[in-house]
Amino acid sequence: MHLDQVTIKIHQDSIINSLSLSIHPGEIFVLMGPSGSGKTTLLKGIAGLLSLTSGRISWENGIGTTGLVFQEPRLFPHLTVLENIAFGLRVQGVATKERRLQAGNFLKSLQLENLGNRYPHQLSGGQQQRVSLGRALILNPDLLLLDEPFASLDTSLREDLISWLYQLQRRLGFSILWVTHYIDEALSIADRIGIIFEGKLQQIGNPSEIFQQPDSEKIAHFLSLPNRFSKQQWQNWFQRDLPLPQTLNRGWIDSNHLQIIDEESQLPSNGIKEGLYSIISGFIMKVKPNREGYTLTIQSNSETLEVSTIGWSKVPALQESIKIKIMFEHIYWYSE
Amino acid sequence: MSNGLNEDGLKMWEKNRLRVQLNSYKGLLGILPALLFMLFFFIGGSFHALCLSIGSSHQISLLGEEDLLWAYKELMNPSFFQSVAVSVGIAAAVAVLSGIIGLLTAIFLATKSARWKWLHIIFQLPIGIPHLLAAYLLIQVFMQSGWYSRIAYYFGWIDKLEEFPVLVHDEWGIGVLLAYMWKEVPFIVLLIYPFILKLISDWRDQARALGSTFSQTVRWVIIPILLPMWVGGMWVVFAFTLGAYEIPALIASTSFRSIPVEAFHEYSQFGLERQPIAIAMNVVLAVISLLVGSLLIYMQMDWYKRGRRVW
Repeated sequence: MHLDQVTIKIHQDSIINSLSLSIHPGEIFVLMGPSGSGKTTLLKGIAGLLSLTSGRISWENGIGTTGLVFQEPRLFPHLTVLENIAFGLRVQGVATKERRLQAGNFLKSLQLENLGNRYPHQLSGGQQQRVSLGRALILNPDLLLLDEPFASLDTSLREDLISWLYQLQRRLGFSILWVTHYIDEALSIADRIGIIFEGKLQQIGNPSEIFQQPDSEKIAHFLSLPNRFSKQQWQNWFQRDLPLPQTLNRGWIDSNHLQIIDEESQLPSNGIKEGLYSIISGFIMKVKPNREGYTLTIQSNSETLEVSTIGWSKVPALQESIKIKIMFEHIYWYSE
Repeated sequence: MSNGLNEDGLKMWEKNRLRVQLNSYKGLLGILPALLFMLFFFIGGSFHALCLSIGSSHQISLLGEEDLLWAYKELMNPSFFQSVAVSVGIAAAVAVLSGIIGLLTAIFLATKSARWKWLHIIFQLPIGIPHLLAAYLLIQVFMQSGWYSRIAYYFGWIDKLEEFPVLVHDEWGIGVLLAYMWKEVPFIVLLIYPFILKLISDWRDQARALGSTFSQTVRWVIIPILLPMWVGGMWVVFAFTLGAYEIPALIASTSFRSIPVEAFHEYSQFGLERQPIAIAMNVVLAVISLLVGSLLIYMQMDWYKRGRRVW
């Protein structure tokens, strides 16, 4: 599917501004952006629920079909699971017997065998969302549009469903335009990620490109990348001019790449030539446990850094003075 | 000290238990005043009316025995059955037509609500007009010497006023239907409009995303979800129309015998000894109305039986 200079206005307000995008067959394209950036409006525009003010949508093979799944399952409460799944087929004029057969066969793919005669309120949240996905997928859409479909579910269920949908997509081969604000969700399924602000696509790339080389501080901030500082600050810490192109004037480093060191280990004793590094001092302001260990907030002069530690055995103490080693090669550079 | 609690603790526990028990009956307690008020009038009055219609010491047969059910026996004649059929037929027609027209109107208003707010006000006006006045207004405009007849004559669409169709005191009850619908369509609209507005906002996008046209969405999603309330509204109209007096008395008293009109005549014009007949007529209407209501409740319960929900 290709979007060519698409603009969508609602009550004279431009929600989507001259947006162009191509989604390849079989691709999972994740769209991320802050609230009010136009993600849902774009999906509704592609699905035909909102008319385009200008621009056009084209498909490689002429006419394309879409299926839209909302954040809430929105199952018809008066219809059974089977009838909900078969609703789109009914719209297409498929005979009752045939559509019941098709919907019944599809239940297995949705892992909803034996639940066909239940009503939506008799299902769990995850089952409801699977029915909602099934209702769109049974129509065999060229492009599945997902508007934060698992946002209302708990973490473990969300992960299970993401994994299930990913497998299903790889098996059936349809394309997905997936709106989410969960970074882990985007990283685990996206072939490409697009970042949208104020109705405009700011950056498109594969997940590593987006996270390692954000196009701007605005994007880096949206992605909540830690330890973002100006080139000048980094130069202060490294106490030298850093060999970087003029345009790359900001850098960030992952909290896992900052190393807490003791006095002995900072001495280059093993004879292995290390790259450019800096050691800075600070003290612990905040300790937050995580799955791997602790995330520490370190105050170093006027700047705050985030450092991750591995292991639970040693609990860092507040106000404890520490030294952090920063490897130049682990810093990702980007433009303001 | 008992159960590990001291005296104060025990008192507190008792108090909390009482509070929990009261809380579990909160719903019932809330409607108790209204329930008592309704039962106070309904049970006593109904019992008395039923007794009056079933038997009476006033009526002694020729053989000198008390003749129970004499009022009902007197009603067992083709003329009364015909009146029942007419009354039920008119009430059913008013209920169904008002239901359908009201539904279509409410859907139309809901889809145009942003632009045509003034239409809502117009549709609410008839609700404030008494039925008697509605019948009078209808007579003024629809009778053969009324406004529309004169307008048609003025424009040459008819050669004489008598050519205008008979819509008041007509044998098919068209005037009665029109007068009732003028009042009842707005009632149905007022009843279901907010729900249709919500249902459209809840379901239109989802149904469209599955390829559904608006007409399919209305038929397969909105009407089924609305069904219990919509049918309930039609039953209210049916029950009201079945027992209402003013409109058939004014518009159809000479063309067909409506039960409420007949009952009123029996009650007011033939002395106390005929009053059991008037009450018996109304009991028959009440039984019909309750039977229809019970049937609808049964159908509704059957509809929900397998677990179906609408909200």
